[in-house]
Amino acid sequence: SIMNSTGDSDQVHQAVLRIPFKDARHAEIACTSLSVDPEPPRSFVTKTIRADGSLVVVTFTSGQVRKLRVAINSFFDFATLVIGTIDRFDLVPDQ
Amino acid sequence: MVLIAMGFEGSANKLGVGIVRDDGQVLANPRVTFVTPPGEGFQPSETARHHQQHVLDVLADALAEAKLSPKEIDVVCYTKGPGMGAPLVSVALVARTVAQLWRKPILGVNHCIGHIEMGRLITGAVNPTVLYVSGGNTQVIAYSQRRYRIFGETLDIAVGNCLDRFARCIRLSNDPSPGYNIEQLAKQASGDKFVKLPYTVKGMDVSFSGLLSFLEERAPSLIDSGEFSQADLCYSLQETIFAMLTEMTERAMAHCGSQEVLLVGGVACNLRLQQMVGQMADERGAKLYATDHRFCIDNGAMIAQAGIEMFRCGLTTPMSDTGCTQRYRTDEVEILWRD
Repeated sequence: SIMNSTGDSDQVHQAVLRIPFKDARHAEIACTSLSVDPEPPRSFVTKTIRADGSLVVVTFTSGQVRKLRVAINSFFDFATLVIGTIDRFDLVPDQ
Repeated sequence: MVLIAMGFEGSANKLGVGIVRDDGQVLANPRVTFVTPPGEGFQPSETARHHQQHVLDVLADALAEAKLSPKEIDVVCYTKGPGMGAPLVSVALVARTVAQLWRKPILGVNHCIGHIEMGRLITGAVNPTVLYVSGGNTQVIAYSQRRYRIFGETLDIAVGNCLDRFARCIRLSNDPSPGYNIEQLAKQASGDKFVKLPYTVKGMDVSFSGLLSFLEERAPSLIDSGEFSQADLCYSLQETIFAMLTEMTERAMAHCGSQEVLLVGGVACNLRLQQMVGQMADERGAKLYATDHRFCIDNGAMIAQAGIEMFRCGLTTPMSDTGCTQRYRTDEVEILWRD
């Protein structure tokens, strides 16, 4: 759909990331961790995040492509950290 | 039943993970500092990147030092605020993730209260007037009716920020910290040369930004003239700002009839400040309490300690509330663990 927005064009730009996890439990954990923080004020980006089985699906929407890139870059730093935490500190089965 | 708390701290340029037992034992408290080149301060995004790079290693170090496995941790605590946005979030993300992985409750802690509770634990001070001085905060605090009430504070910048920015002005090393290097340089001054700086105490509060501007404007020419050394300027700055802090603290102590004063925060490491406040305390028949760099400077164990107090009162933070906030007043928190 086309919305009125301030910025480069009348088009709404959207990017979707699908991040695979080992299983649904890991995907839920990552999704929960990454959904708490709001996007910064004046970022001009809306982000939605949900777990879909063992996938985490993140959708970024903005009227400005530039802003989309900033939001996605920032998200990748945070997502990498969460993925690294899960990889390194998940409980081994007997714990 | 023994309780063990883990605390994550990363609100400024220090990144720490601490583990504390509810009998008061600090089981681990590793920390790394993001040090910038001389003349430069630390920006939020690069600080956040630093924390992201180091937090998992520091977490592993904490568990190893305490000789604990994750299942033995009872509660995961993290700094909710105040502080810098991206660094706070970077650390909170790890706390949220391990809390879920290990199936533990999570607690968002006020950074200032972390300093206070660790200060009380380490020193044994019962009900002190607290002078909390760091790069980000300058407050005089006293406990009253379930709140840490702010009796006096800076009207503009923190005293540590004043020190940090003066260090940048004269291009002092930031390793291990700019304030430490100012302290060492000040010791080299003869004490004969003193630059009169704007002394600004306003009622119960203090102000440092006018003093900083004054000094930043004049420092290069004062040094170039050959009349004053960097050491003389550091000495003049410390004597002035510490006297202001001492006056602000004394005012609060007089108001509260307090017999104890506790220094916390990174600037509280400064031995000259401890000496000045200590002298004031002596003159009033009061006692000074201070800790060393392990606990004055931001660290994870202080977050765990405040967290243990909160947890014992039955508090936990729902995961949806585990955000971070750059502004978080010390008196916003209800201190349920004190009468």
